[in-house]
Amino acid sequence: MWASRATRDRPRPSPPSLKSVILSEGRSPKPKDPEELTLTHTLNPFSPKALTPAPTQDPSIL
Amino acid sequence: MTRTLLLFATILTSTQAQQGFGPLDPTPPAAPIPQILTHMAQQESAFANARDHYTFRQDVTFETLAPDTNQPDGAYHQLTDISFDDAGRRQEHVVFAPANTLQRVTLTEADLDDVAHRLPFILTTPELPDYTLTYLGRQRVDQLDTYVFDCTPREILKDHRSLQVEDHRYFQGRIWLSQQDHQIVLIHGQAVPQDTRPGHENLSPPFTTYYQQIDGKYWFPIYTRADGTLHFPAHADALSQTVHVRTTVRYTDYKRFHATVTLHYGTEVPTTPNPPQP
Repeated sequence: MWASRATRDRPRPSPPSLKSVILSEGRSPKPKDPEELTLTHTLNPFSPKALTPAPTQDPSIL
Repeated sequence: MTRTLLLFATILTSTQAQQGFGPLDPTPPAAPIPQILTHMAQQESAFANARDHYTFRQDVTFETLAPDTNQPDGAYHQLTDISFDDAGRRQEHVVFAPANTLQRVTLTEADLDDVAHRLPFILTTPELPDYTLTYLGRQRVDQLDTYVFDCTPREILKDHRSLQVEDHRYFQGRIWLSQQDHQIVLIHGQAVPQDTRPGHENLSPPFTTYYQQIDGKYWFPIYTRADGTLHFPAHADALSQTVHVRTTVRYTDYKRFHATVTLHYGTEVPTTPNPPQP
């Protein structure tokens, strides 16, 4: 029996994740603590939500 | 109470002794070994000739087993009616062949050739010089008294590396002969050579074939089971792969036939003259 080539082919390396590119090229400050790392990893920087400033909760504006 | 237990133990032991393999006894055989082997080859040759007058059904299943569940995750199944023509050539008529779902291995021509020739192994007189047979001893298998031999192809002994995969394939392993009629009643071994060239590995698992006396005279192969893990090493273009495979072959419905048919094309059919009418 031969091993099936489809499963023996060495998988092509997947493109690097955006986070690793940003970190390696120094385009983003390196996170200092694990919480920040998680936030950077889960937040999509290209979503409109990420570009919109968070609403302020200052009661003086209301 | 003690006598009852002892009797029970004796009965149990005698019952168990009728099944499975007894101890291998290195006592020399009753007759000279060359004489036994010559007789075996004659018997096998006679069986090969007799088998040509039989049809039988061959039920083959190749399976790969998932490493986590040990359940089949792919299978090749084929049901074939086998017969032999006047020249002893094997004729195959496929009667059932569902879709092949094997994904992790690919069957090769060598695999199918092994199913036809190595798994139902017989060792005839012309093939006897191809092998070195070493006597190992006597052994009781189920209810049979047998002689056990190690069976190794001479080409393999000579130089394993010089034997190319395209060359003839052989059986290598152990054979059990009936002490009564010197016919093969059980084999366990592997088809060789196994192709281990990097990137071209063509491997097959070890197998056991059981024989049964069908016509009261000759021992026919009735069941083969192969089970093993094939290791395909990594090389430049591929990762290593380990596949648990299982093969079962059932040989059933042995039926004796004998027919001679002669067909003439383009010639006048000879007819007997009609008797004169009164």
